[in-house]
Amino acid sequence: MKFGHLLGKIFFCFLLLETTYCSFHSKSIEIRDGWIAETPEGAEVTGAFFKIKNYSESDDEIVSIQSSVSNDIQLHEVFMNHDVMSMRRLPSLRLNKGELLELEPGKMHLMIMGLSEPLKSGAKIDMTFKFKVAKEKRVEFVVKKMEFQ
Amino acid sequence: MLKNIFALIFLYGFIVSNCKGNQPVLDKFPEIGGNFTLEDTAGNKFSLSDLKGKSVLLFFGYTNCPDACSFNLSRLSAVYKKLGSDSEKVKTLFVTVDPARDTKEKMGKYLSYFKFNPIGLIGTGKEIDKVADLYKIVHIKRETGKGTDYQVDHSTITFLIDANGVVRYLIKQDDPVNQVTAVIRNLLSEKL
Repeated sequence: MKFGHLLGKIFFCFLLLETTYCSFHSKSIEIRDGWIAETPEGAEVTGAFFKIKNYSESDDEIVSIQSSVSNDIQLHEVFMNHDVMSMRRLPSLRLNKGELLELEPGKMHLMIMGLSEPLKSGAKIDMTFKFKVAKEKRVEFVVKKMEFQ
Repeated sequence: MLKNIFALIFLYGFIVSNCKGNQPVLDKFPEIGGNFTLEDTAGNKFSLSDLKGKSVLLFFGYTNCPDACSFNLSRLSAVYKKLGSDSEKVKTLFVTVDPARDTKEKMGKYLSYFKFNPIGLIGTGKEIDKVADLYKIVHIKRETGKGTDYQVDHSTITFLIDANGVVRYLIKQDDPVNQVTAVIRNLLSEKL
C-alpha cells in the first residue's frame, strides 16, 4: 500500500511538472484583448490595441506584424506636446521578460495603413506577430467601435 | 516654425487658465478665434457666422489620422448622446489640416459615419493656414519615410464657441465626456 501511495505521489508530481512546463511554453508570449477601431468609410488607416505579456525567461521584441487586411502595419507611439499630438514610428517594440505592455488609444498602438475597405464592428481580423526570439504568433483581433461612457 | 512655437505657448497658457480648481469655467479668449469662410463637403461656401445663434464645437484634424481625430469624434458622439434634445443646439465643425488629401468626397464619407453630423470644411493650403492662425492651431506635416506618405502633427484642442462666434472654452483631448457635456450645458444655459 505504501509503495502504491509513493507511486501515486510520483505520478502526481510528474503531472504537475508537465502541466507547468506546457503552460509555460504555450504562454511564452501572451497577446490578449486585441481589438481594432471600426473605420468610417473613406478612412484608410485605423488603430489596433492589445495587451501583451512576456512570460518567457528572455527579453524579446516585436519586429513585425502582418494581416490579411493590410500589408503595412506599423508600431506607433503617440506624444502629446502640450496639446499637439505627434506620432513616431517605432522600428520594433521591446518586451522585457515578465513585462506587461498595454497598447491603447492615445498611447502606443498599431497603425494599420492602406485599408481598401471599411472595417466593421464584429469582424474578426487575423494578426500575425513576429518576434526576435519567440516563435511567431497568430491572434484574432475583433473590430469594435471606439466607445466612451 | 517660430510661429508654431508661439501658437503652442499661447494656447497652452490659455488651457492652464481655463480651469479654476477642477471645475471647467467659461471664459473669453479675445486673442483666439474669429469668423472664417471655407467650403463644406457639398461644395458650398460655409462661414462660422452661418451658425450665429448656435453653440459650435470647432476641431482641426484629417481623415488619415489614426488616433486623435477618431478618438475625439467618438468622444463627441458620446457627448451628443448625453446632451439629448439639447444636442440640436450644438453644431460641430471639422476643419481639415490635410487639404492635399482630404477631398470633399472623402471628408463627406468619413464624417457621415458620426451620427451627430459634423460639418467637414476644406480649403486651399493658404485658406486653411489662415484659419489655423486665427485659432493658434499648430499643424506640421511629417514624412513617414515610406514614399510620399506623411502624417500631420496637429493641435487637438476643440474650441467651444458661443452663439455670437466667441471662443468660450478650450476642450482638451483628455477631458472626459461628462466634463465636456457639463461645459456645453453651462454655455447653453447662459443664453437663457
